[in-house]
Amino acid sequence: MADKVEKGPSLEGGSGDSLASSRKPTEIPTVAQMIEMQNKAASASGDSAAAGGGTGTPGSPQHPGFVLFKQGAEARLYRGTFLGKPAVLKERFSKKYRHPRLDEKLTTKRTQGEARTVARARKAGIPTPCIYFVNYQSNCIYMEDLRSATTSRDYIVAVQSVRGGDSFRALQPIMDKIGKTLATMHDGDIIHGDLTTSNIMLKQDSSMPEPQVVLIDFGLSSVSHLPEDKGVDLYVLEKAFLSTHPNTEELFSIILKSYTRHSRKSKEVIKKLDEVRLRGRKRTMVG
Amino acid sequence: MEVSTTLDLYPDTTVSMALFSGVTNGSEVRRKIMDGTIAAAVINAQMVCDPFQVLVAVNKAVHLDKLDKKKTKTVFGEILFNLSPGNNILAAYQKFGVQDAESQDVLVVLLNDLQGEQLQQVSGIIQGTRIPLESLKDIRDEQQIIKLYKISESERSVGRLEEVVVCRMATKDAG
Repeated sequence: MADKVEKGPSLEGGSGDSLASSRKPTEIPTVAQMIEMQNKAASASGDSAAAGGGTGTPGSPQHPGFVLFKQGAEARLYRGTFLGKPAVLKERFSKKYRHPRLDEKLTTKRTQGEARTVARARKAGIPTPCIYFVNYQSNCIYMEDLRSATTSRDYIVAVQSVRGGDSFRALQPIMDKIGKTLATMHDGDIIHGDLTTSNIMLKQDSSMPEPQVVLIDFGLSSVSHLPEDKGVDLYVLEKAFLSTHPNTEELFSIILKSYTRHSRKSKEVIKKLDEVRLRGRKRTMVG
Repeated sequence: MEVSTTLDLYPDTTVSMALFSGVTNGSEVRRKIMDGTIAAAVINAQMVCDPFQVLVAVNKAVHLDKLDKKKTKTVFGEILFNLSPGNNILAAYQKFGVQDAESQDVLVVLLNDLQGEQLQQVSGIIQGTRIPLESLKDIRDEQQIIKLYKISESERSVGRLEEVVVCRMATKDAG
């Protein structure tokens, strides 16, 4: 698994669950309410990086003003400010077990690749965090910090934890949007490569009447027009979705239905998905 | 009225911006930039969505300057080049630099002008009126920006115009 870009205050010890349970258990939160709660919890817990933007925080020695908040297998994520805007810094570090020359090449190529697909995704109309600056010397990407957003993972968990609520009906519109976004992305021949409910964010600020689906972490992304790759992309999401949120087969099928409705080439992709389900992500090489 | 910002990544560099309206001596200003009398980036204000866009260009220019990897001769030329979507330096200067128009609005960008002396010198050359930086949003020519960057309807829907442009600028050398 690559680095999971889990943005949002939910990282502080599974606050997603505690938030949901501290609410009146009969009320299903809207996305906007959920974001508001998370931001409140973040500022209450004194999370200076998420709340204030690094005023007075010493930050890391290599990146003054930036505070580490997530470490993945391939990159570290910091929060801070960039030219007055709240920003996330994604730094790909070198792997000491690789040959230095190969390591340098791989790291730079991946940083470049991520910047490229983000640009491509935006051109196709997929909302994704705006990149502010790429430093190819240190393999750092400075990008927009989504403030009024929550991961779809936290939102699904929060909605499901409401006792007696009809979570299926409440989540339906969101799943529909996710399916549509994935369809647009695949129609633009972009393969995300690491679709999980943590990498699908829901953004909503006061200017937006409805939540918007924002895709993050294009670290494993690629460009391909093959139905095979698109099918695998969906398969990865299905696996991640069903293991993160047990007993949600029906919910996931809304995503697929919406995908089928909105994608131009959905027929071949869904066919491939069925194939991949039988054999797994890797192609069998016999003979 | 001069607005100064320190670059987060290069705290030893301060950026100052000043907006001039109704500038009548465009070609003279261009000549003085070329012969080195004016050490500043003078930007066609119509092509700027937001001061943040300029700061992003300056940050990248300073970054490349420190690495000695500039594509153009000066850090100020690099600022104009970074603003441009293409890789043609002349095209960048023509679109984002001072125009030949009889009257135009320009944004002057200065580096490390802590005492304001540079601004005074430039103000002495530019024949126009200083106006607040906030007026930039009334001057910007959205249609021309969208056309130059070839921003499609779907890309435009992703976010605010300045974000769309900034992301394009930042990822332009990613291929």
